[in-house]
Amino acid sequence: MCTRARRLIVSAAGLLLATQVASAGGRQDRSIPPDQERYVSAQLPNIALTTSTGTATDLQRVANSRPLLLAFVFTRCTGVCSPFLMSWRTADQQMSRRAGVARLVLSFDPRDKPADMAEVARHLGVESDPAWTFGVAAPEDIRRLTQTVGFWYDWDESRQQFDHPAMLAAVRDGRLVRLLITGTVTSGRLDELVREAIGEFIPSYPLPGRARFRCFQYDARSGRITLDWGFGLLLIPVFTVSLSTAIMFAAGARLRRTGQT
Amino acid sequence: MVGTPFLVFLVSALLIICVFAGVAVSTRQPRHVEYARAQRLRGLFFLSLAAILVVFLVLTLPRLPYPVEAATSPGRIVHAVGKQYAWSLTDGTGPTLANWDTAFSPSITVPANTQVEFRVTTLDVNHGFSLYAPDGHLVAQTQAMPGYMNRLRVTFDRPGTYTVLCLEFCGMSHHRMRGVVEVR
Amino acid sequence: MTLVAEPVAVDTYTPRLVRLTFTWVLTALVLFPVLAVLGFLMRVLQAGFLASVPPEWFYAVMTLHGLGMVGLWFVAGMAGISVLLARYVRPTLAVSWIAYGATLAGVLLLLAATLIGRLGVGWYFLYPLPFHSGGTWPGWATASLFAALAIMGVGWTLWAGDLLWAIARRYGLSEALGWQYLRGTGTPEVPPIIIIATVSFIGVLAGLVAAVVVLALVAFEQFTTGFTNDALLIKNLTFYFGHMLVNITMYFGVAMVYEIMPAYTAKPWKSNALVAASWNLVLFLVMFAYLHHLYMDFAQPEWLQVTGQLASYLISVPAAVVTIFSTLVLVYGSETKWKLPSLMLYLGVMGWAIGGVAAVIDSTVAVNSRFHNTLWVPAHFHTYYVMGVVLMILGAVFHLATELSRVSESLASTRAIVTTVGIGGYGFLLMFYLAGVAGVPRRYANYPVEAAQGIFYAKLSLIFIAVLLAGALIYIWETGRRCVRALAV
Repeated sequence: MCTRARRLIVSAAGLLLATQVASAGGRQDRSIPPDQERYVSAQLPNIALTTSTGTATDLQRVANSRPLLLAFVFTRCTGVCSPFLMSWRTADQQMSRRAGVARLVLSFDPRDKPADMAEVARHLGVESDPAWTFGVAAPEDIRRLTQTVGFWYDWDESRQQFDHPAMLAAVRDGRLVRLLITGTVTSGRLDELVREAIGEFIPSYPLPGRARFRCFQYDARSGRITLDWGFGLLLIPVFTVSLSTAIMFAAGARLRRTGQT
Repeated sequence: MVGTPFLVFLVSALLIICVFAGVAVSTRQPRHVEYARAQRLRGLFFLSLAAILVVFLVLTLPRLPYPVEAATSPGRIVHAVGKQYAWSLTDGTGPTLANWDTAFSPSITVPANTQVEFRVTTLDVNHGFSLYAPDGHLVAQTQAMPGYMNRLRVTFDRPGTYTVLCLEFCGMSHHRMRGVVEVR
Repeated sequence: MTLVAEPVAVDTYTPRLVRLTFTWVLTALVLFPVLAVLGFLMRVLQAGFLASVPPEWFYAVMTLHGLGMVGLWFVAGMAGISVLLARYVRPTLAVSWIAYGATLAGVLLLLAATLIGRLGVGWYFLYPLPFHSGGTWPGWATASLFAALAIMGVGWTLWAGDLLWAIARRYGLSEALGWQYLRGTGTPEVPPIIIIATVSFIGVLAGLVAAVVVLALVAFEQFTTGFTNDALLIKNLTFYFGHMLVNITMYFGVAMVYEIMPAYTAKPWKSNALVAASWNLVLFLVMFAYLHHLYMDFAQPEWLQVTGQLASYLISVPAAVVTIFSTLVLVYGSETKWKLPSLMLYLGVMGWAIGGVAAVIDSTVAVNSRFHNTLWVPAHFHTYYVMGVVLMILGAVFHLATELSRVSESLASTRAIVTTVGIGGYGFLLMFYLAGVAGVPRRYANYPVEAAQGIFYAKLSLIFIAVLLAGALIYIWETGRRCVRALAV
């Protein structure tokens, strides 16, 4: 087939895809990132997929009762996909809890084949790591799955690229527990995500803000609450008064010794 | 859950009153009190009190309200945001100060017999997030503190209209701050 | 090095001391009924009467009532304990006058802030509420509040510091804390009031320093940009201060019981290993007990919450097993002269015990989930305040007033006071407890339909408060005229 015709077909397919996506009820405002909290606790459909090694399987079997981390990319991405995956891989290596978590990278591009995904795996250096699964699935299934977690992908005709956010979903027992929307995955945030996925939980967390002198800091890496400068302020009363009391009574004793009561 | 503590209090209070009354009445007939006997009684009192306190520590410390059933995932997450003087209850992230008027929602519907996690925070001062059952009893509560997100897990076993009242004094309309959780 | 304690060779009740003490007392006797009536007014509004009064007035009155009462009984306790300490040590009277001036200045500023400015922040002015008035009160009212706290804080710090210094001039630290009793030597003999006072002043100074840190942090935020305080840290510091102030006031009252009750029972109350051990334990535990105010702040780490419950449970042991039990042993089978002072001191200990039980119950985290910020909270603290420390301090005051005025007691008045205060007091408290059990929230200007029982209990409480106030007025009359007489003598 000549190049022009191919390009036309691809564009038409892309356009069709884009309209399909757009028409699939309630198009999100692309100017704001997906709501991290909105889709939490959504039940993910158990879609069928083909792995990079050609195995037919499904989402549940990939998870295999383990917490699952899920991301969507496409192999022809010239934007965020590669840096995103690399940062995830690096953070993953630094993470304190590496065992017992399943990692799944799916392509939302109908053009991607299992072999393309295998290439991505090789590029990341995880092609022989059983904890990582790369795969493709049917376009309707991908659409159902991505909609559940708030992921979207629009074909941009001018750049011949998909427009999409970068996000990592933490899934537990088939339910979304946490979304991380970021182009760069850091070990701290990843650790938090995994903890939620495992089911570990803290009853409270500080919101990002400018508060200085907090009592405590939650360290996602160790999962512990550590003391911060503010705690020192809390100890000022005891130390000040202990010191003053000691000085006072020492002075009193001295006065008595010199007979000056 | 409030009946037992109140009963313990009433019984203790009555006991204290009886003891004090009895001791006061004893002064009508002055008698010699043996120091050693008093000390033995004190020892007995100490042991009894210590035993009671230990029993209550053992019974109550495992029942802390900080969600520890980590193994279960909540079936639903509700964002509760307090602001002088209303509670906003939403599924997604709650409103900010900037979009309060448009994004605020005074009520929400949640399913019964499902663990619901309330993510509680505030946009201004400290508030107290509390859930009152249709019959008026207090179901659960947590504080809403600026700069923090507190997570309260509740399973509503009975459908009905539950009210969110503010339980931390927050200003002149503190008593009018409310939200509604419909449990179906 | 142990010293033999010499008797204080001074005529204890000098005219200067009498004048100072009764100035404090008379001021307290004026402020007390005013603040009590404000409390009555709160219940009136909660009962649904005077519905045309806007809610911001309720909250302004509530702020004044709370700050006023906490401050009042603190200074009354300080004044009472300093005159009793004059038997053993020599505080500087001028410092007490400075504290008096500072207190008056603070009172005036608070009156202006609340009754004119309609400042409604509650007595513990929990950050950041003072800065979020929502248009209710003007900025000067907030400024007045902090100015009042600063002025009174300075005055009270000097006062407590001076009293501790007076003790330090006579006793070494280990003696003042009674460690010689723990070592088994028992010499020099130190009366219980010295041990309790030493513990109390150390505690109060720590609490006041915490308030200074709060004021400094808050001021820093106000006068700089880009600095926001951590609400959890401020809350920890605020409650450290508030809890300490209230507890120490309690210990002042208890010290008066130790010092004065023996005069009526004709049996001495001396220090021993138990007294020393219990009060040293209290000094340690009172630093941690405040944590029970933060159970519902899930942001506080769990180990601190558990510490709060442990400390709160444990601190009841020395109170119950030593002080309260010893009061009962002191009185049992003795030839106690039941006059108004001994009756009030004795009933005060009983009220402290009952309030203490309610407090320990609420300091159980699992229970606190249902009781926190319901009317159970004012129920328990009004119990050990109104029927506890207030009775103790007023009993001590009447004792002093009678001793110095030489006006004998009227049996009819005594009976009237004890009956009305007893019935009125416990009745009004019971209404709080019942409402708390029903889950009625505290600090509500009026009650929504979900807390409708609150209206019923508020209405009933009005009857009891009226009875209580009647008793209080009789007491104020009897004591006031004795104070005036004592000043004239």
